Amino acid sequence: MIAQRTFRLPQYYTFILLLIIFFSAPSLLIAQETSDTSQLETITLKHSSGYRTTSLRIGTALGYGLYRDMGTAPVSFNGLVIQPALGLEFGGFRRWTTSIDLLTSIGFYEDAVAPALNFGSFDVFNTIRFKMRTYFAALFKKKYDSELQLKTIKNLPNDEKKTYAYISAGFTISNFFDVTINPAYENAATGISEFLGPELLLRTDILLGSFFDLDWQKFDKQLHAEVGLMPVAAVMRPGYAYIDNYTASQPVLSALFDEYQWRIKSFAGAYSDIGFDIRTGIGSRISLSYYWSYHTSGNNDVWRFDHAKHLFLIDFTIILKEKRVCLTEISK
Amino acid sequence: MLDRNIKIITISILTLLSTSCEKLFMPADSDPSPTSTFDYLWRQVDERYSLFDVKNVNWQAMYDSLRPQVYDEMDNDSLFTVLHKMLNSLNDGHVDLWGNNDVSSSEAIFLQRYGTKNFDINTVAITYLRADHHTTAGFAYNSIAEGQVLYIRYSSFSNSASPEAIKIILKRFPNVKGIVLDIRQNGGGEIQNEWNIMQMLPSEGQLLYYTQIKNGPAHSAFSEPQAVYAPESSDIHPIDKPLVLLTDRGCYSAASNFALCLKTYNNVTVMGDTTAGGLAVPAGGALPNGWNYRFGVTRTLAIDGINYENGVPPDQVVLLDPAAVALHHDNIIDSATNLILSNANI
Repeated sequence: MIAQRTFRLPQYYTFILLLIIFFSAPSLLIAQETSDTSQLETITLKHSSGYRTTSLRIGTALGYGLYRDMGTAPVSFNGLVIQPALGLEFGGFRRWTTSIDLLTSIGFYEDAVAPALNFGSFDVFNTIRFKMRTYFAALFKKKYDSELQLKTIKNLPNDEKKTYAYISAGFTISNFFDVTINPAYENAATGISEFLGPELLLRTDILLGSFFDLDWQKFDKQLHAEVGLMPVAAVMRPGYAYIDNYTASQPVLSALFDEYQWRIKSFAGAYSDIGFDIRTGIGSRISLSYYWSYHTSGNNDVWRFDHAKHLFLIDFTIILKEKRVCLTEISK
Repeated sequence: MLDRNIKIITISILTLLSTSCEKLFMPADSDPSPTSTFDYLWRQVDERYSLFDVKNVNWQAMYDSLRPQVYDEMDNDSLFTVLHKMLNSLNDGHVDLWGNNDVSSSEAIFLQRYGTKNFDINTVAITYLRADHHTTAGFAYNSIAEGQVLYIRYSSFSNSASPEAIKIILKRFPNVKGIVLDIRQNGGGEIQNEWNIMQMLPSEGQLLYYTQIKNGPAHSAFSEPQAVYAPESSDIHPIDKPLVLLTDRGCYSAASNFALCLKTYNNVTVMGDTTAGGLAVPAGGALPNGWNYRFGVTRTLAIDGINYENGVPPDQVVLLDPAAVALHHDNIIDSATNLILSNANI
């Protein structure tokens, strides 16, 4: 008998390949019929000032989620997820766009192989994310200008509406706190998983027939695509016995964390966000997005926990405060 | 038009790629076949069950004898029968299996509870509780022995047992000389209710027991023993009167643990029959085929260092006399009453 050989790309390489596809999208989206990209547009300074904004972000999302906790079961639970979100964004004429977001997703799951026995499990997945990102390049009529730094971006022409794609990069400090509850598991009903660490992110904003978002106009539209990767994280999971009510007859909370353990995990998570934004005012917009996130504690023993969600979001970004500043202040 | 199509296709591809990205990183779920399910359950028990030292079961031999009976084409009923046979060998009431076709529980514990008669509910109801009894939270109670003794029936630790409820009971019968607390046929429940009752006893902060948690796959892998002490009295007037706790083979889990604890109190005498045990704390999970299970993952050692997992013996053995029952009397309650009154008259 001839052994059957199969070829499978290593996971990380597959993921990197996806990233490349993900970020090649702007090139396609701004493709023009002309192939003449040898000339850069004449850059003229048209704007001398803009706004620094502080905005409130309120959102809600609905979608599909799944988790698998090897401490209690080798099968995935999947179901409906809802996710309210609240955040603050400091954007506009700044070198760094910063934001802090609080997202709480609540999932209602069932075991796919025996739903009647395990219906009623749910989880609360809490995200606190402090994000900083800055523009570092732009794609303009398929011409990538590696010298295009923030200083150049602010000098983009505004005498005609075209499709531009801008690339920003940044990082986050993120905390993910998940509580899964499956009453059928008795004293192992509650599993707590904690992920704490940085995420590296890349983002493209594709402005559809409008100007750079430092100088947007009402009803300007844009597409956005963002990918984040958590290269390393401190992960906390239940210990070997996986028991949440090990109280030694004491009140539950006194011993709840006695058996929990921390470990350092490389590649603990990733997310992507693809969506459409429409400007509604200074520092304000409505965003419709598809959001995917994944977290894993790694290791293939009882320690392992995987969590993923696919959500359709609607976000309202509402201006709280605005301040007009000169362009020259950006670089300060 | 071409440009527009490219945009649509690109967005569609990106969306599709993102919808199943986690599958790149997550290993597939376990195979839900009967063989995989059997192997998983056997291994879970082998590595995480905490009571092999007191159950006298050769777990490897159990695998060797039952594994050949499992094959992937077998139906659910047949698989359930094999799994039940494997788990039943542990004679442990905390070892259960819930399938979508049946529930497996320990036959030995079932027989102990219902095959050994040391409690007659009709006799208790007619002669001791009587029609004018009171009910507060999970307690049914009345005075007996001409008002000298308070009889309290507590049938399940799943029923509420707050300190406030006990205060109400004591306030209603302030002049009794002692208390008979009857937990026979109490199959256990919330461990917190044990604590609530003990908070009404005069604590000396004494050692109640030691507890250990299974912390590795070896049968002998346990955490360091953790000493558990009596809770402080939550009331300025704890029950300092003689208390006789009635137990039988129907006492399991929290009821057994409660008996173990109360044996350390100076004013308490445990009377009746040995309990059915079940001192370990059970934890549950699901199998590859989705069926649920549970088994003990801790062990409890009495202050003498013995693991009474198979039953906590009483201080005084008194078994129910059918002749007494025929006369509508419970000789165990009568013995407890006599003990209280004789001590009170010394």
